[in-house]
Amino acid sequence: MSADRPSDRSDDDRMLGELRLLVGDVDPVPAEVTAFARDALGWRRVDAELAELLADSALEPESVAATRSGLARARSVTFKASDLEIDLEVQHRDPGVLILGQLAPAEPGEIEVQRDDSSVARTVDADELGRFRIELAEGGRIRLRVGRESRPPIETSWITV
Amino acid sequence: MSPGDLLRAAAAGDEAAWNEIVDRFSSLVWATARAHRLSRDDAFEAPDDETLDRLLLDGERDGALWRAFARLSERCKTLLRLLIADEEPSYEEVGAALGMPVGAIGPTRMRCLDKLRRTTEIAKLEA
Repeated sequence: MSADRPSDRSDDDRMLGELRLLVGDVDPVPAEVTAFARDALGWRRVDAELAELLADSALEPESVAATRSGLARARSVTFKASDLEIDLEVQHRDPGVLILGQLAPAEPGEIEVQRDDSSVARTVDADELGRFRIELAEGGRIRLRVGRESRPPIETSWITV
Repeated sequence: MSPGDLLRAAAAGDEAAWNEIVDRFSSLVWATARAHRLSRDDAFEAPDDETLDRLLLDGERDGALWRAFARLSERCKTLLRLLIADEEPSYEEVGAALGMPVGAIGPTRMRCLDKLRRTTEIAKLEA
């Protein structure tokens, strides 16, 4: 096996080095990816618990097929934290986006809609039954921060609406 | 600072530490995403032929090597891309990212590089 010769091993390293330069030129990490990653810390508030995305109908294959065939349905999204689920129904209006939400178990709260440019797009209240309604002038990358009485706030992961 | 120190500092809100994490690991994360062929929303298309031709015509890079790399199996391409990420991952991390037994990585790396070397020679003759 020629591959065991030391000269080939250093040739391996030389080849990998050349490949590294090539990939860096041809397929570098997109600037917006690193920019977004940098900004992410500013948004991470250590006081809030993260609600992870549990389900998103837009990620299901049949939803893609339905959209293509013109049978657009409202998108349904669920986030889950340790003691709270947040259900969203996202409807695209012309113009803007309407989000109908439900906290489960039902409880009142204050919902803040944050955009990825660090702005707050909207703040709305969830009623006694945990229902809330958010109207956005335009879509984009958002997350929700749910403020609750006498318990720590919850922040969802980011979604694009 | 070690990655552990950086993470602790970043978790405490240290922006410089976070930026260093982003700088050091973004190429590794990107290579891993590519390995899993992420192609949704924030999906970025692989470079088109035009971009490639322009870069290669500039003459800085080895066109034969790139053509040979493009012809490797998906398994070889993803493995090599991970191995050349800026913050060189350990074999354990590569194995976890690709779902490959750690013991298979060394031999696969050697086979892929042998193949790359031979194919590059052939590609040179074609040029």
